[in-house]
Amino acid sequence: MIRRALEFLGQRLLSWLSLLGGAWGLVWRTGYWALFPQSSGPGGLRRQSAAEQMVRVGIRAVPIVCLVNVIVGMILAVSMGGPMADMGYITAVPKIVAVAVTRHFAPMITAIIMCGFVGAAMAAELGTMTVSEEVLALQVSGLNPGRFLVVPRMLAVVAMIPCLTVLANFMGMFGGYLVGTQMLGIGSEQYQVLNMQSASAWDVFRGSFLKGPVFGMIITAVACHEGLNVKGGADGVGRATTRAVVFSMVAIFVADLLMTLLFNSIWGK
Amino acid sequence: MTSAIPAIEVRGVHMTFEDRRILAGVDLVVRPGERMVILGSSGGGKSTLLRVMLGAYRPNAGEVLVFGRNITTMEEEKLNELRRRWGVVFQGGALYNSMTVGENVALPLRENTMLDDSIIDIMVRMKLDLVGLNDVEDLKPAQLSGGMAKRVSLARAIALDPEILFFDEPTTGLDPVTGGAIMRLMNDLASKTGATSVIVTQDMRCAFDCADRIALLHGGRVHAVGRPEEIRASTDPLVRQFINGEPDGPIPFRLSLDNCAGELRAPLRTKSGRRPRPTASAPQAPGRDGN
Ligand SMILES: Nc1ncnc2c1ncn2[C@@H]1O[C@H](COP(=O)(O)OP(=O)(O)O)[C@@H](O)[C@H]1O
Ligand SMILES: [Mg+2]
Repeated sequence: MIRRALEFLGQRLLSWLSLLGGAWGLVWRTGYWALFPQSSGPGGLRRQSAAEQMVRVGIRAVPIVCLVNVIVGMILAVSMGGPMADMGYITAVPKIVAVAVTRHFAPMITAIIMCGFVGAAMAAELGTMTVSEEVLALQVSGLNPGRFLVVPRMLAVVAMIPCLTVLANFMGMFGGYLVGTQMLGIGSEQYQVLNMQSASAWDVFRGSFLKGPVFGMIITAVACHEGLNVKGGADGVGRATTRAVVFSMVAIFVADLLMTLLFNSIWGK
Repeated sequence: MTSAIPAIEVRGVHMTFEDRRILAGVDLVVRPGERMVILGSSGGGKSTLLRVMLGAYRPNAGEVLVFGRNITTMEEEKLNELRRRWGVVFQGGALYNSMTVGENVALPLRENTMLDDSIIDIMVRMKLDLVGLNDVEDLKPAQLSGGMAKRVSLARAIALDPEILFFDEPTTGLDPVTGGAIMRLMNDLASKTGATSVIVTQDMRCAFDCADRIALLHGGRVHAVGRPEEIRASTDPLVRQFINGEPDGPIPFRLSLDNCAGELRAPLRTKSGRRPRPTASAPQAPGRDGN
């Protein structure tokens, strides 16, 4: 019984390690292909394809990113409102919301949304292409599937996540503002002043332009790696999609922790 | 003709997937300009052999020479240059579903040549015309019937005027009339362009109608090679069983773990998640000594 469980865990661990290794390799190769497009064949960088992906990845995710982040900002304000009011620190709410949103929630929530929004779609799409031999067809006609399929997606996600995260910052703070002014009785002007005291452009920048791209790389690399390595038919595609989402979520949390520690050690708290 | 460098030469290719031996020493020579049909039962490793010839799988042992150059040891960059000299028609067509028919056929031209878009458009229409299709450029692959998808796939394969054409089961899954049309296109193209064809199939009609020579793949090796009339006249029991489609003969009617491993889709696993002992591996083909 215990042995069974250990064997199971061991297998899981091994398969996750191989996924990690594969995705990591894919990040490097994609970077190389993106920087040296000619090295992977004629035709160069597929700008049009990257632009298409950006629309798909970026523009369509705007409504959901806005909605969820407003709600997160509201949740933060509501849950902080009670305790802070008890301590007589109701004016701390805007500050807490601002710091929590800019440093953690906006980048993280955006990444998690994108993980479900594009990571799953990407793994399923590439998985279907693998199963239907489209990827093989690219490969044996001399077109590198990595350059052809992964690079435009990676560029699109890495470019769009920071933009979405900036938006998410405003939306999160706006959610806090709604609750603060409508439910907690903080004056509109006062809320804005307090908010701006704590929300620094530097935090927004770090969250959006340093964390965001890393999350984007994780999502794309994991999804593409899983999609391109689908075994079997439709059930294989389903499994790859689930694995891609689960694994990249875990990886996003881990990366967020590591980056927060790193940022703190470089720039202080 | 025999003195020329072979278009393709397969030497002692072994291919194993998770201790299941699929190819066990395949030797085959495809001469320039000939139509070689590789015939074999389903699950017999035909597609695997094709992928080895295309450099998509690296064999565990042995080598493949294309135009006299060893592709098993070749770098991917070099191999990609070579790959522009052949075209492949996959079993399901393998059209790029996100692109229109026209874009599918144009892709090899766009990626490998500097031609202007207007010229590419003309060439796409020409290639589609060659496979008997008109005004389908703007359709999506999902809108096509099986036979049409095969034709588009063929048009895409000949986009760069390849010297070798590979087909994986060109007629499987098509009705006899559509299959016949595809066969006619294959033969027409081969004679018009002088391209070498390698056709992998389990369809006897396709084999006898399209082949200059037939190779029978069985038990992971080429069991017999010859011109269609030689194959038809063969007295080898396995060849006879195959071309007559008899249920009894050297290929056993009853299947067990010992003799069907090649037909299983995935490696066998017992409930505990461990694989059973060697019973399931290394299909020992009966009747191999008949070669
Ligand atoms: N990438 C792979 N991994 C594991 N097994 C494979 C792979 N490709 C093919 N096989 C197995 O090899 C055997 C032969 O497959 P294939 O070459 O497709 O046969 P055919 O085309 O003659 O029907 C099948 O049992 C198949 O499951
Ligand atoms: Mg096959």
